[in-house]
Amino acid sequence: MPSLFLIAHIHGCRVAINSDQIESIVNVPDVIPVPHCDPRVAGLFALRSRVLTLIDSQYLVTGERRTLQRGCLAVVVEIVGHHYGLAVDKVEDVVPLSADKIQQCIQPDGQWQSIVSETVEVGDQLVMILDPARLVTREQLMAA
Amino acid sequence: MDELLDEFIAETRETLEALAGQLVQWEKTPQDRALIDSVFRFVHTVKGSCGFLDLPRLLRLSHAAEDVLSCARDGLIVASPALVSAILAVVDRIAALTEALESGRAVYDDDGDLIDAMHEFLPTHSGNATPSLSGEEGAPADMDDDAAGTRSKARSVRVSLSLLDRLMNGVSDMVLARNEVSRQLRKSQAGAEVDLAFARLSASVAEMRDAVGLMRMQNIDRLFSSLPRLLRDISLELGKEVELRIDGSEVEVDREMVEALRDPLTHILRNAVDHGIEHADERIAAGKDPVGHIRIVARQSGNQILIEIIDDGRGINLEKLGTRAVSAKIVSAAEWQKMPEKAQLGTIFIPGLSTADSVTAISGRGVGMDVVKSNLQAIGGTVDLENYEGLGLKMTLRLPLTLSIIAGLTIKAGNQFFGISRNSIVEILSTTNKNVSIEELGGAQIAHIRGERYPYAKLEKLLGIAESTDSVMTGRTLVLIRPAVGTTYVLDVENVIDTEELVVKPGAPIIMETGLYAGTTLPDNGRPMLLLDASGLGAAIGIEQTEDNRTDDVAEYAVKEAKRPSALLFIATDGAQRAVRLNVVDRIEDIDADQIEFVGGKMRAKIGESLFDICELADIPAEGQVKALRLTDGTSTKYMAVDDVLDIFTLDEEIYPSAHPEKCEGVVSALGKSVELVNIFQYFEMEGSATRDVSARPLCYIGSAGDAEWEKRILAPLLTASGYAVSFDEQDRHQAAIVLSRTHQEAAAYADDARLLLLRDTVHVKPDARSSIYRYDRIGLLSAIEAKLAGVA
Repeated sequence: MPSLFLIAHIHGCRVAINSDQIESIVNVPDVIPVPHCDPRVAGLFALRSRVLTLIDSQYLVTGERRTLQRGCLAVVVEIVGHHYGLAVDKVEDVVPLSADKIQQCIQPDGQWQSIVSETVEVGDQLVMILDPARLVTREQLMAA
Repeated sequence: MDELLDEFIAETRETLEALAGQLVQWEKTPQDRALIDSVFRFVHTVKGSCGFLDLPRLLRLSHAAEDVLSCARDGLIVASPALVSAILAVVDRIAALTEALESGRAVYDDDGDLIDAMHEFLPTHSGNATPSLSGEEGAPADMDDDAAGTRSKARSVRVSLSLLDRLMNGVSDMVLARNEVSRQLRKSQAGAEVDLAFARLSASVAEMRDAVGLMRMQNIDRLFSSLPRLLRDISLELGKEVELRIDGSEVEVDREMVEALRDPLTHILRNAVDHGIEHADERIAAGKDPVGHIRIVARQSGNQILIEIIDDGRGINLEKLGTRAVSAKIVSAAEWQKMPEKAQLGTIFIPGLSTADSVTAISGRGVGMDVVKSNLQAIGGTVDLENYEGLGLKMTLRLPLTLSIIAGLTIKAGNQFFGISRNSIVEILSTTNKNVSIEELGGAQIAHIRGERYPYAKLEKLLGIAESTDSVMTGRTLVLIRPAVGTTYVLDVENVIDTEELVVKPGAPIIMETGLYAGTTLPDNGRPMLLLDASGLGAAIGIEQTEDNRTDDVAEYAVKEAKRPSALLFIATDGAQRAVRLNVVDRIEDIDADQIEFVGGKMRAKIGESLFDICELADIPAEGQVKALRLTDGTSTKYMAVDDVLDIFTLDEEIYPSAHPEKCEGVVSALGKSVELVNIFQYFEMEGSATRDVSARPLCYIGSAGDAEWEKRILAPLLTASGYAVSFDEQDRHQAAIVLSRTHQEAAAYADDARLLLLRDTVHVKPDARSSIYRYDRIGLLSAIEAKLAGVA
């Protein structure tokens, strides 16, 4: 039984995110910065009555902080009871991918390793599978 | 099947607590048929479910208990402490097994002993024959009991917490959406019909929000129901006889609060029985009732819940406490002597201190009271002690009504807004205040406020954000913060914006790990806001994380301060600087211009659901906000518009008399300037007429000739509004307390009626006529009526 994956772009690279973990894709309203916090955290934004934490996914790859503006695209995920928005450049499509196509032999380079442990073939291109939980937990980052 | 099991576990756990309380009650009043019935019903239900769910151990236990209870019900055996203990043991085992069912752990199986112990109490004492007998006999009758019991129960359903949370979120969404619609409506000027429909929607949304808020609430009885059992166990163990009285079980508290209070209350109760209540002989020697009394009272007071635990034991022996404190090196003997009594009492909250002579299994290890205090602080509560040495001790726990809504203050720093809990804030001052200065000490900055020095930090610097550039011009605001943990410090922020009820939402772990934030919140404007953690900020400044030993100084200081009245210096709407006594100022508010209207001859503002007068406001600004002081005389509230608020100062110098005492109380010197001290009574004195006691409405008969238009249109409404009943019916004349008339015929006919008050049409008094009142002299008329009433009575 193939699962559905969302194909999104982070820092110009295609990544796949398991759609089971995704709640929605939104254009974020005003972003309120969180001072003195982990640089991954781009700020807070409101989605209806909830307050979500916006994660600058690109920071983990480039190590450069940037200011995310109102209107940027975010994938909303729930990780251990808290909701996060993962900032992405753009989203392509949702594609079904069967489990046997997922493999761990080929690993990406550099910083990507901290957030990606598997890759999958989409069409004729190899795409990294993003693990959202690793974007928001510090332990994972330390270990990597 | 699993669902059924979950249901069973949840239900059993809930009833077990209540059951223990009932058993203890039954022990005292063995004749109470209703009690034993309800205990029996519970055990029977458990037995039934166990058979159905195939839980043999629980089945055997409940069966044994049922047998004994059945005999007790039939009057074959009488309740005794031993019997109740045995049944309680079974109940405990049922509880343990139920817990084990959920967690999947194993529980040591010596059920046989418990069951044998049960059977000991059976009159026949013949093992297997009785259970089967009573089981068969009891069953049909029990079914009836069950049915009757279910019918009389309150109608309620079990709802999962996640569903409840979803509902709450949904309602918050609705409130936000309503606010947005309201903004849009204001822009588009949609017309009266839409406004009306929207107002209706608004009202129902508000009602729904309240209802959902209530759903979070739980009867505090859930917390109290386990206490009788606890007390029984402790007092049996210690050989003391104690009676517990619980009042106010109907108080509702947030369901999270019930859990948070369980440990502190248990500790307090243990302490009270162990240390407080003396042994019977000692009590008799002291001339007290040999049975100790402990009273627990819960009540709601404003937005606080008060729980008082009162015992009539020996109280706290301060001398002994002092010796312990000194030997534990908490204070020196000299310091102890100097400490005020309240501070001495406070030392029982310091970890490692106990007045118990010996350590018992129950208490006396010096842990307990510190746990009580820290647990309470964690939920934003406080604990007060009133010690009557030799007579008893009264503990008052004060708790906020809910955990999820805090009274917060919005502050601005950099270009960002932050929320902070108002509980921890002592005072808010302006940097332009002459009493404030910032000093340098070895690179660190220290705030010097009225002779006291506090650690100081700029919020922008702590958070590493840029200061907004224009703040240098206008002066900044200092917030004096006393956190739950750590010493008092001063936080320098750009501005304090507003005070608001904030709904606390937990922050993501990645944000919480900074230690600076207590969570997030979403104010009505829909822009998320970070809540600052007062203790965390203190730690970031680098102050010591110890118990605040300044508390007493501060309390003393507060007392001193209270004796010296303070006043608020402001710029009045006419541009002059004036002062007003601080104790009549509730708070400072910004009122939106579109909430202000000139109606009924006065400026009025609609705030919340009520209309308030605004004094000293000549025109309504086209837009923006009006700064106003909220004044109160205890019963009524008014606003006084001001241009700006400058400072607070103490009225320790002479007040020079004024030429117009009705307008200004006098002239005082405020920070080197002479200003008028406003007499606020001028704003409240108009209130009097409407607030006469309306419980008794004296009847006023209005005698009239002709159409009596004026009487009906003007006089009657005035009297009704002032708290009188009015009648035009001739028949009521004889029973009326006051007779009013404008006609001369009336005056002539009833000249000797003491109740008669004559009204005249002109201001001028005719020389011949008997005393009368000008008909538009409202004050004169009302006071004449009052005078007559007083005379008649």
